[in-house]
Amino acid sequence: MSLEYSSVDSVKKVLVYGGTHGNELSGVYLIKHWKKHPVFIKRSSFETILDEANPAAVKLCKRYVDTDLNRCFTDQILSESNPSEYEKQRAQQLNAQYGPKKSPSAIDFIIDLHNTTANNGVSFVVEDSADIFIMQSCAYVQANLGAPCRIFLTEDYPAYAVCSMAKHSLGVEIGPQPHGILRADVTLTMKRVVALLLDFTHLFNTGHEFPPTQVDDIFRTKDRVDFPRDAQGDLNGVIHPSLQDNDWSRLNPGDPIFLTLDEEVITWPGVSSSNEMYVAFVNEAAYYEKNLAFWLCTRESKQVAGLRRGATDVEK
Amino acid sequence: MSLQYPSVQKVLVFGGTHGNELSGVYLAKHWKKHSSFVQRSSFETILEETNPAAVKNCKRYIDTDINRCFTDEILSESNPPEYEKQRAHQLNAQYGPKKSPSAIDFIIDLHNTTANNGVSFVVEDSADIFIMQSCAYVQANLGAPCRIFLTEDYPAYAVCSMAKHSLGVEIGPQPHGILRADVTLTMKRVVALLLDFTHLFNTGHEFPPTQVDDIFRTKDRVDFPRDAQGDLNGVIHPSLQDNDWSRLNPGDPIFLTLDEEVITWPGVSSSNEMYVAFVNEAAYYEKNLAFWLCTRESKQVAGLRRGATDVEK
Repeated sequence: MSLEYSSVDSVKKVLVYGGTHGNELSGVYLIKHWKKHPVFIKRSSFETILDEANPAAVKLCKRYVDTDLNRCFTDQILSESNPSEYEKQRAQQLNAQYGPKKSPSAIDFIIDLHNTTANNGVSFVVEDSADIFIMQSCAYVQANLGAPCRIFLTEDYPAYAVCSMAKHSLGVEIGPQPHGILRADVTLTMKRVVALLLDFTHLFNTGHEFPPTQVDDIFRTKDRVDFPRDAQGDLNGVIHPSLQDNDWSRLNPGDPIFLTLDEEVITWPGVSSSNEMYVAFVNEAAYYEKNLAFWLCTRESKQVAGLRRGATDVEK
Repeated sequence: MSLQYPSVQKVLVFGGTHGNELSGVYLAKHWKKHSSFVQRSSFETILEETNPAAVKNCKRYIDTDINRCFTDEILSESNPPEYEKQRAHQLNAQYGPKKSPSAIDFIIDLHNTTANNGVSFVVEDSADIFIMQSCAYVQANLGAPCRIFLTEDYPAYAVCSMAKHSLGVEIGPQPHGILRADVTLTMKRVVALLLDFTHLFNTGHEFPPTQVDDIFRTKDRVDFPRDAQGDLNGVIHPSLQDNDWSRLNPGDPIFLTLDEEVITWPGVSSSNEMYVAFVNEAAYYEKNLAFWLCTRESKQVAGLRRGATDVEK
């Protein structure tokens, strides 16, 4: 086997989730639509499963009922006995059905569809940059979509998301879209991204070799920045206009980040490391309660090994 | 011709009528702590959080939309169980009764929308010269377009309808649950102009007769396409999305199915030119409203002056 190439088992099942957050509507409605019209997501070399991750939240058009399902896939929560929260029960149910998380019987590939109020454009949430299948899938979409796609790399943090059950896990975050509405531009872009990911998987399964490649626009999560708050914890300022909508841009010490309602500017003091820092997920509605105005990331490129399908049972 | 109105003693600024429309929520909180911005010497400015439980939960409402609770029917219901109806009764007792001689003079109710409205005013009565002249004043001084969304052909049900003079301020686009600086600071400036106008009025300034443009009169509601189960079957078409206040012609695309088939607008039987408003507002999905259809008009508005004060009489 060439050292330049990684051999990965073929993919038998791809699970596409919508409605992990019930008010992120692109995924919710694409899943509903594809359940009725599955031709678009069918490929001959694997089975595509469509599932609504949080049906109760979807019904209420809320992010969650008791607790955020997309934080429930930690080893701790998955092994909790008799949790009272709806989402923890649901997580355990899904883990039994499609996992167990990261075990040999876990489903091969999960694509989890999300929207954000941040001006992310198309972004991929990647838990493990050593997963060549995932990195090559992102590179494939980057090369074929016709719009920038960034990788939001969370590997320095413990995995807790729905898609982390799978052997290969990928979150797809597309914004900006207000929660509770469908924008045509965002939703059709998500449709195209899913098609490309399924095409990639089919090419991979049918023997196509993806050469080693450099993957750019990888933003590695480093630190969280909260809004300014008063002694009671109430917001004391808003995202500064020069930061608003500028996701993925570089932030320099002294740059404005917040504006008080008296229109005083609050600037970023910088960090002690010498790394250049970049911002992501600027002004996401769901993060206000998580005390997060934006993420700080470093930016990198990575040499990714080539990818080929491992020998099939027939071939062995 | 000039009309005389009694001077304004109290202006009530509401934030948080919908708990997730954050510009008004946070401006009202901010001004409660730093009130000099909203004070004028000729009247009292009251700041109020309309729906505190919804604000606490960052939700539009708890049980029912408080901004639909100010109908005569609901206000006279005995012992309603819904939180918002109880709150409406409480507010109506405190600041009303609705449209009675003891009702508060002027309510400004602050809202955001996910639609690309820019700055818009929700006006219940175009015969209210004080309100029409206040809108004209902001139109002339803000430096950005301000449209009037005229709901007078429909029964009044909103929070601000308690007052003698009622004005909704709707500014978008802003996703519910976030604060955008551009939208929030614009709302701040709009409120300042409305308070300045009231102060000028109170201190004897005469506002000449004027033509008010960009009045969009609500005519009809258009729902999303839905399947037999009531689920959405399409999205706002890209050529309609973000084009609030634009003219809609028969045959124009309005929706796109998820199979990317175009659905066009068939038109209406009247010969009126129709315009769209509130295109793709999140809160209206459950109200079966994808966008409003309106006619567009201009109106000659009488001049305005303050009536003789008790001292002057």
